[in-house]
Amino acid sequence: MKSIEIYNLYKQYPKVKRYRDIFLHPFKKDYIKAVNGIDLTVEKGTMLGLLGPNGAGKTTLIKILATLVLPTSGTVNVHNYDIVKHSRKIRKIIGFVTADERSFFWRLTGIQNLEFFATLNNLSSSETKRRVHETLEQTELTEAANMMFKDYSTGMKQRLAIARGLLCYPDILLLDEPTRSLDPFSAQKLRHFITQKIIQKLGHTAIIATHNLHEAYEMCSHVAVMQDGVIIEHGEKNNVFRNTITDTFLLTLSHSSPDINFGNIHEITEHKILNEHTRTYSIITENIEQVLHTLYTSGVSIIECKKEQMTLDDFFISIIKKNGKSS
Amino acid sequence: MIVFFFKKALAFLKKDFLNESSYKWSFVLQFFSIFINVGVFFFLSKLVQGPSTKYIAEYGGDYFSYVLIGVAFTSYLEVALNSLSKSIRNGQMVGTIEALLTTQTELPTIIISSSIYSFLFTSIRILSYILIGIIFFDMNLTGANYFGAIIILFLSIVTFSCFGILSASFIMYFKKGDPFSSFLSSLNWLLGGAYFPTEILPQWLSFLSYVLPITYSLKGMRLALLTGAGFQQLSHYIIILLIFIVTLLPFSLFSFSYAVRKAKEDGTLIQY
Repeated sequence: MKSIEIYNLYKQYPKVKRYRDIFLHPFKKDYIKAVNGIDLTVEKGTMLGLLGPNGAGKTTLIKILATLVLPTSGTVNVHNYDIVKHSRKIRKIIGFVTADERSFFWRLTGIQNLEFFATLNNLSSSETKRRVHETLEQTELTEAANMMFKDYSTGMKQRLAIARGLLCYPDILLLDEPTRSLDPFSAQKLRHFITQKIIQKLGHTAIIATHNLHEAYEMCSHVAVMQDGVIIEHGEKNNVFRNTITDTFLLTLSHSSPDINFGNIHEITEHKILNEHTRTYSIITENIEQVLHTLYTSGVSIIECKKEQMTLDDFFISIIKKNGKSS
Repeated sequence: MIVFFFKKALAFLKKDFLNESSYKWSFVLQFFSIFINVGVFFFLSKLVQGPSTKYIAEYGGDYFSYVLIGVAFTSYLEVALNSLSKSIRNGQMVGTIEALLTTQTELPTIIISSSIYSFLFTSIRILSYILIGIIFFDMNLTGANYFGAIIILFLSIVTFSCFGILSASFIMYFKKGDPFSSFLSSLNWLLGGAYFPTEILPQWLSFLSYVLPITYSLKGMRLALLTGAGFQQLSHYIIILLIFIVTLLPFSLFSFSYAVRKAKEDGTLIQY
């Protein structure tokens, strides 16, 4: 069953004019294209990672789904409701989790904040009490419920945002960079928490906008990669990453070792000399065992071989190369 | 529907009270300033005696009562004028408006509910002004037509809220530089008759004061509270305020819905 269907979606924002342009071309309108023709369907129960660099159009897409921004053209259906005509019904289906900690009232406690938002979501008084209690428990904030929001740590603030998103049993969760501004340890903990305790346990459909490659890999079942307002790659996570990611390794050779003749090692797709003095090389290969074997038999002595985590830049370069596009 | 509205309005009221009262010093100081203001008006009224009171003879001739009601109700109408746009601006600046807009509550309910605390607090302030005036400074409201005053107050609030909605529409779309609240507010204090009767203004300025709804609000309110004027005397002011409402309300509501739609199209709903 399809949870979200997007067809031929475009969104452009008017550019703010400079004084000079207001006088010289008062009627001319310039636009920034944020979403530039997107077709996407999300099946029920899918956790889709919306991956892309800043300015790719991820947040605009999330905001269109959250009914905060109107599309310029195209169709967006959530559970068969049109996003423009039935925005109120869609807000019942969707739980929006924003990373912006300013979206809470800082001098109210966690429980007071949740009670307030529960009332705005039309929950009855008894339901409000029950749901606030349940969501605080689900997000492991029961003990901090009576602390003022301003005294929460960043991780707790993010968890309270998730609790708010879960208040009225949404079928779909939209998470906009949930681990932004968290330290690596807290980010890892929150990722685990979202996938294990929220998504898998409660069975939500979820879209998570992120520019963190590893976050998308770790949390999502599907990935859509956006660039310049279009989706350049979309599919099951393992397919997208398998087709795209090639491992990068750092090799450090001993000083007495002869130079490597990279041209003769066909398993290496790309190489870079990082530091001639320390004899450190970066190589991209799918078959490190074969490379190491070839080097060893040709008399090269290797001090260290380290696998490098692929950066988002490398990932995009790979995808763009694969798609034959240039940004 | 109405039950939900009241529940939500109450939730906003509670939230704003908790928020404001958490700033303890400022919260207490606001009440203290009421005493100071009433004292200032009392001693100022000592200066305005004798022949100069002929201008306020139709309101009973007591300048203290005249200015207290003028200032108190002008402040009240200022809330109607400013609170809607302030709540939008505040939501945009603080960053809460996005979260509010993703709830199952429509923007007009959010905006109206956000201004309830200001109205309630100002009502308490006005009541305190009048009570302090009666208890400590011999203000006399024994023959007041309270029902007439309430009708004038209600119509005035609706009239000023129309300007408030226009101001909110402006803030929604242009973010800053709203001409309605700042310009109209200054004109209200200058030409509305809060501190002095509009009759003492030069003729051309006095003419301008008749274009402002506050002139009718304050005249009607003073006549009802200070002289106990009946409905026949008040009907003139009631009709003029109704004309303002019939003219302004549809226009202001249309402007607001247009501004919200434009802001959603341009993606500037939460920008400031």
